[in-house]
Amino acid sequence: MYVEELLLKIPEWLSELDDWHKGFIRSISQQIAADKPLSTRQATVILKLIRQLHDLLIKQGWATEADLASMLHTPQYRHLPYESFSLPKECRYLGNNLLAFRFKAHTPLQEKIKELGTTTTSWFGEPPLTPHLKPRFDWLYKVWIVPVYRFNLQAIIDLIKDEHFNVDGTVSHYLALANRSFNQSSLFSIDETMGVILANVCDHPILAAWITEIAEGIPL
Amino acid sequence: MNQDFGLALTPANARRLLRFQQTFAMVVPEALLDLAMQDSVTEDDFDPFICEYTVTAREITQFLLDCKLRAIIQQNYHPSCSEVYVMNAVRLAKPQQLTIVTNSRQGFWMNLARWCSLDKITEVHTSLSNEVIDRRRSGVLIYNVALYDKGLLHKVVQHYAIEFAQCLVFENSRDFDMLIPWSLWAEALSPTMPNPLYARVVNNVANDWCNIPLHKFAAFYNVCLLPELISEPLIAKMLSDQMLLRQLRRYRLS
Repeated sequence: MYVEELLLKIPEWLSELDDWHKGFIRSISQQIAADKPLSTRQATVILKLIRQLHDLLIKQGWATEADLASMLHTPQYRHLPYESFSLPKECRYLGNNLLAFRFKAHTPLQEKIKELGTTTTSWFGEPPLTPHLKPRFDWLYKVWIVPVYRFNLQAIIDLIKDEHFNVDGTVSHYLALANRSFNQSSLFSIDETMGVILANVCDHPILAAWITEIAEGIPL
Repeated sequence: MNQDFGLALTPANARRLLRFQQTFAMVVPEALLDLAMQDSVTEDDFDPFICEYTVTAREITQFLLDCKLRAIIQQNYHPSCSEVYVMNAVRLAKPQQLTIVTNSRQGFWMNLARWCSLDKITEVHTSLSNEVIDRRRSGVLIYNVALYDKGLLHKVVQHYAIEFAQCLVFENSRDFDMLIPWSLWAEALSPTMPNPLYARVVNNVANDWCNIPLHKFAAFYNVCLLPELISEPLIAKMLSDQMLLRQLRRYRLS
C-alpha cells in the first residue's frame, strides 16, 4: 500500500487529531488528489502520524498490521518525495517606508499580508477608492513589499510577532521610530554646503510623496 | 511614517514649503523665509497692456512658475484668473515650444499668443496625435477643453500629462455643479501621488487632519486653489468638503 493511499483514508474530522493535523491532512489530501508528490518533510510527518494512529487504523479496518509494519519499515510512495527546502521567515527594511517579507508560499499568510493594505472609511462610499500603495509581490526577488502607514503599523508589528518573522536591528529601529512619529511635526533644515534642504517627514504620506513625486527630491 | 529626504535648495521649494507650513505641523528654518523672497515675480513682469499687475495675478503667476508650469487652474475659484494670467506665466518661463489643446477657442488662444509674443513657438490643436506629441513634448502644454466625461479625463488628460513635463490645465468658469472636481484633475496630473481624498477615506490619519479641509491639500497636487485670495463668500463656501463630495458623486454616476 502506498503511503498516500493510507493518508487519504484518514478523515480530517477524527477526534484523535489536533487542529494542526486536521489542517495538515486537509491540505495534503488536496495535494495527493492533484497527483502531486509529497515533500520529504511531509512524508516524515505522515509516517509519524501513522505511528501515532497505529491501533486506530487497524481497528477501523483501514490497514492491516502487516501493511503498517511494512509501511513504517520501508515506505512506498506513489511518487518519490522531493527534497524539502527550508526558507526562514524574514522581514527587512528597504528604505522609503517599505518592508520586505520573505517566506515560503503559504496562502493564509499571503492573505494576511494583503490585508495590511486595506483600510477605508465610508466617506466616499462605493466603489471604494485605492488611496495609497498596497502590498505587492516582487517576482524578481520573491518577496512581499509592504508600505508602512500609520493605519497598518500595529498590524505589521503584530504580524511579525505572531508569525515569528526574523527581523534585524534596522527593522526594529525603524518600527520603533515609526511608532514614535505619530502626530509629530516634520522637520526641515538646510545644508548650505550641499545646497539642499534636508527633511525628516513624520506621519505625513502626502508630504513625503510630494517631495519625491512633485518636487524631485530623493529619499535618503 | 518616518523618512528622510533631500530636495533642492531653491526659492520655489522654499515658497512651497512655507505654504504647507501654514496648515501642517512642520518646522522650517528661518533661512527659508529669506530664500523664498528671491527670484520672485515682481510688478515689472506684468505688461499693463497684456496682463495688469494685481496681487492675485502675482500670486497665481508665482504659483504656476513654482510648480514649473505643471498645474491645474479652475477659474471658478479665482474668477479674475483668466487665460491671460496663464499665458503671461508661460511667457515668463521662456519656453521653446508652446502647444495648446482647445476644442472651440483656437482663434482666441492664437491671438493671446500673439499679444504675448509667443505666436512663433505656438501651435493650437483640438487634440494631439502621437506625431505632434513626439515633436513638442519638450515644451509647455496648455489644456483648455470643456470636459464632462470622467473617462476622457483619465484617458486623454492623464496621457498628455505623462508626455508633457510642463502641462497646464485651465478650466473655464462654469456652474459649480458641472465643475470637474479638483481631486480628479489632481489624480490625472499626478497619478503616483496618494489619492487627494486620503485624509477622508483612510481610516486612521494624523489627529489634526480631521479638522483640515481637503482643499488645503490641493497645493500638494499643484492645484491652484489659494484660499487667501478668495474673498467672495459664495466661492469660499464652494471649497467645502461637502461640495467636493457632491461634485464627485455626480461624476461617479456619469
